[in-house]
Amino acid sequence: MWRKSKADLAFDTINIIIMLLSALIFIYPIYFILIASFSDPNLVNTGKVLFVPKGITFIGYKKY
Amino acid sequence: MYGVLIAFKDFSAVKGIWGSPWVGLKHFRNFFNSYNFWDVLSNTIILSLYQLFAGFPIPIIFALLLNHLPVKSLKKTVQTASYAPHFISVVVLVGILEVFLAPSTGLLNVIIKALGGNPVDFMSRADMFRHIYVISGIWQNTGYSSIIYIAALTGINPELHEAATVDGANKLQRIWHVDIPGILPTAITLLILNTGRILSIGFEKAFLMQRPLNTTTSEIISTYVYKIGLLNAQYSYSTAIGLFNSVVGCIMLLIVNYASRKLTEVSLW
Repeated sequence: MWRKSKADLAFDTINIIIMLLSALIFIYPIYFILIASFSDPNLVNTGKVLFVPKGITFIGYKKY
Repeated sequence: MYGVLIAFKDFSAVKGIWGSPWVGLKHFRNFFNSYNFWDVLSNTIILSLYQLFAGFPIPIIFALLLNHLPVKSLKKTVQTASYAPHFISVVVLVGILEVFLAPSTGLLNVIIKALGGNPVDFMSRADMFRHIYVISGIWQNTGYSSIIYIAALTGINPELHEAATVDGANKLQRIWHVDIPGILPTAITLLILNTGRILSIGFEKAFLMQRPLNTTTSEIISTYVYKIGLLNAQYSYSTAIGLFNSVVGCIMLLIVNYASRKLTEVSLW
C-alpha cells in the first residue's frame, strides 16, 4: 500500500467534504417533501417544519 | 411531418389540412415582425446557452470527484443520492422551488434573514428566473448525467493510473492528465448532442415557473407557441414558429459539429 502524499490527503479530505455536502443537497429537498407530506399544512406553510415532521396528519393521503 | 404543411397555409379545421389555402411565408413574416419576436428569441437563446454551459462541466466534475472517493461505501451512497432528484417530476420540482424560495417562510429566505439580509421574492423576480431555472436543472440532472462519465472513467486503462502513480503524480495531476483526456471524446459528443436541443428547451418548467411579473425573462419560444397556438387557436402561426424553432436547432447542431470536427477531430459524423 502506498503511503499517501500530503497533496493526496488534502484532496481526499476536501473531496469527502464536498461529496457529503452534495449528498445533503441532493437528499434534503426530497426528504423535506416526504416529511411535509404528512405534517400539518399550516406548520409547513409557515416554515416550521424543517428537519422532523410536526403535527402529524395523513390528510394529504385521504381520498376526497 | 405532414402537419408541418399548415405552417404554409391558412389552416381552418373545416377545410382540413389539404383544403386550406396556401399563403407562402406569411406566418413566418408575421412572427419575425411581431413586436415580441426578439424578446422571445433572445430569452430562449440566453436561457438555453446558460443552461448548456453551466450544466455541462458540473456532471464531469462530479463524476471525477466521485471516481476518486477513497471510501467505497460513501461512493455508493452519494451516487444513489445523486440519482434521486432525476426521478421527481417537473411539477413536484417547481413545487419544491415554491416552498424553498417562498418570500417569508422559505428555507433560503430564513437563512438570508438569519444572516441579517432582506428576504427576496425569488419566484417573481425577472432577474432571478434564469438562475433558478438553471440551478434547479443542475440539481436535478447532475447525478443522472454523471452516469455516462462514470462509465467512461471506468473504461480508462488502470495501467495509465498505475504508471502515473509510480511517476509520482498526485490525484489532481492524475485527474488532469489521465482522466480528463480519457473522457474528452464522450464529453464533446454529449455537448454536440445537447447543442442541437438549444432552442427546444423544456416547455413545462418555464411554463410552471412563469409569473406575470417575470415574463420579461421567462417567455420563451415554447411557452409563446402554447399561448398563441393553443389558447388563441392560431394553429398555422404556432406551427410556423415551431418549424422555425426546429430549423434553427438543426443549424446549431451542424455548426457545433463542424466546429468540433475542425478543433478537436471529434464529431458525430
